[in-house]
Amino acid sequence: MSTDPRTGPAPSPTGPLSKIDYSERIPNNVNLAEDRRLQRALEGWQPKFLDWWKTLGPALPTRDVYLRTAIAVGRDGWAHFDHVPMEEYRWGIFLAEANPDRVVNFGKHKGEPAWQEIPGEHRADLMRLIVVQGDTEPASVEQQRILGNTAPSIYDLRNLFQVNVEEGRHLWAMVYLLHAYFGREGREEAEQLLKRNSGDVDSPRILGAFNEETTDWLQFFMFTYFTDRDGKYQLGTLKESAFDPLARTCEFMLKEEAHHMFVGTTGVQRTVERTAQVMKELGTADRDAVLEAGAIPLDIIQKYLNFQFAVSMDLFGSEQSTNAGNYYSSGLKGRWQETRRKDDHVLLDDTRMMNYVEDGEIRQKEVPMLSALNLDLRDEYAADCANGVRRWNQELEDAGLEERLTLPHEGFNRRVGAYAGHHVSPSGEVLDEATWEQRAGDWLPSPEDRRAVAALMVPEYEYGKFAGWIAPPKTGINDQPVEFDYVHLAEEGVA
Amino acid sequence: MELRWVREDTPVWDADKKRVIGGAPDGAFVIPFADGEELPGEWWSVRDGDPGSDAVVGYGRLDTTWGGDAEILLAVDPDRQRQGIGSFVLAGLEAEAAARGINYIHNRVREHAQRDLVHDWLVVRGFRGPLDGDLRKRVRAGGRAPREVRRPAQPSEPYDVGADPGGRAPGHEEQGGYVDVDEHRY
Repeated sequence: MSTDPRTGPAPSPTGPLSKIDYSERIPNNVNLAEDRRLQRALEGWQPKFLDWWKTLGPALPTRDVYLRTAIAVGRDGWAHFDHVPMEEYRWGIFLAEANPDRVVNFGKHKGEPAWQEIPGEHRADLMRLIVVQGDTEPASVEQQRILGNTAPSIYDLRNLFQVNVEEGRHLWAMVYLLHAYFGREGREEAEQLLKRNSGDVDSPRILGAFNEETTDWLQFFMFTYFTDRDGKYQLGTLKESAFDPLARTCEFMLKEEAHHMFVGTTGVQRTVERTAQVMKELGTADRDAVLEAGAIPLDIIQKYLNFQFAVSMDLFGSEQSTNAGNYYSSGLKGRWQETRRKDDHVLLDDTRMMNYVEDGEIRQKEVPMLSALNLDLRDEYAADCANGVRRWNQELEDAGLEERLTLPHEGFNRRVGAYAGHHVSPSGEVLDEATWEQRAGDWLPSPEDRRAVAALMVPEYEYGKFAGWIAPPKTGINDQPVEFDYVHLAEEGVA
Repeated sequence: MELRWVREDTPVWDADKKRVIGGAPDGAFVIPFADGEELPGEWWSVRDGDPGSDAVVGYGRLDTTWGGDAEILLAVDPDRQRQGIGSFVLAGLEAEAAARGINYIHNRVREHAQRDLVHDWLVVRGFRGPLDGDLRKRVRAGGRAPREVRRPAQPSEPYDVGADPGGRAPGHEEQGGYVDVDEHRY
């Protein structure tokens, strides 16, 4: 039950359990076989996707992986687990169940039936939203390509690959919408989704954080915690869209995304747990001593946290955005938990407070709510992020340690929005350039920090064993034991 | 002509914006703002003349919807067009975007009397996209924003857009129109 005074209780689960058609070349629950032209177009895109997966997907050769595959889109019993060669994973098109009575819940079209086709005046904006969302999905696969080479366990390796194949499926979800509703331009954009690449100088991925290199597993866990969580919130706003196919697509993607959050939350938690054990054994938080003992010092974990939180906050764009307001008023993109908000869902007369920097101080001003919807979403996100930090700190408390991790101030290390061009410390103090230059190394990972972490990233491929810097999980995946053979590496097949 | 790029710390809908942005062809911009209303996004004015002069001849705006791409708004005083001011604004916006780590800028040309010409103008300057959809351009990260640029970008019109109402010009190359290979970077 929600305790947020702005929202009511969570809606009751609804929707029948529909099966996905796996007899088709492209598994789907959208009756693809009845639209031969669309089916042919997507079957034409499929080999390009597979080429991309083989070229820029996971680099570590495997025979098969214990993966979950969606078999239905209802609320219960939706996934099947089995060992699958990754290149044979059944990437498909799955939309949440349709609600024939669904109406637009916000903006100037509030109360009208949800759209099954795209109104011409919103075509370009909707395509942009889908392209940007779609661009992030393959990006993270590219970023995490070589992580398998340093996996701390077979359990973690399996989780990495599960995240990767589902990001690939989310790409399929967006490509389906582009092909089905945007004609030739949509097909061209679908091609571009495979041509832009993370970190490519000439043709990078659109969003900044999706061009950062994922250097090690601590960063992977921080990425899945903070950056995938941005994805969760963006999907949550698109789930409210008046364009019903987009809303239903994103609703099902959110179901899969929950596992990615789990990987991040528990990955960092297990890292902190191991660090706390070592600190307790040594009786010190000394960086060199903790590193020498094979764990990641808490100050480095804090720096990684600071970095990933800041770049993920930038993903929400400027606090104030005319486009964000227009998307809302037009019904294209709602707010997080739109239907549970206790206001008029039009927002024309509403205002809110916004922080900004002036004369070396953080001040507040009142701004129209419609212009500040990026900020509204970012605030929801930041509050959610704080939950994980509390969970990680529980590990430190349980170990009897006084040290704590903290979420940095919203203005820390920002390049986008009201804080861009200013220097703000993790505690929220506005700093001059010289002080920032002097202190930044205390707050952000240095090359030396990253090297120290990288030195600990030694692969552990023996079932049930874990690298020394991370604690084992309490339970395995899908009720399997922790020591289960989640991944069969290619060498096993050769042997 | 000496152009200056001036950031507006607290942008509001004022007389200069009414004159410059409001002077665009009908339908080119949606202007829902009241006099004195504070404006979302980051704004810069282009001023012609000595420091301190108030002669505003153009505007640029970045609206960063998601971190990584930003929509641009670009407007030039109707009486000062074809003098390289638009190119100056675009160069300024690209530099500002790059300095913020933004990878792409985008724009959509609304339906109005000069839509084809504006679309072609953007295509010549590296934007790609359909007439009725998003035009997108890669900007280079790590650039420095021009706080004060003393020389304007040179006008770079490979053809006279006004003299080409039939559309056989850059952007219409599929129909056999003129193509400037350097500008298009094919």
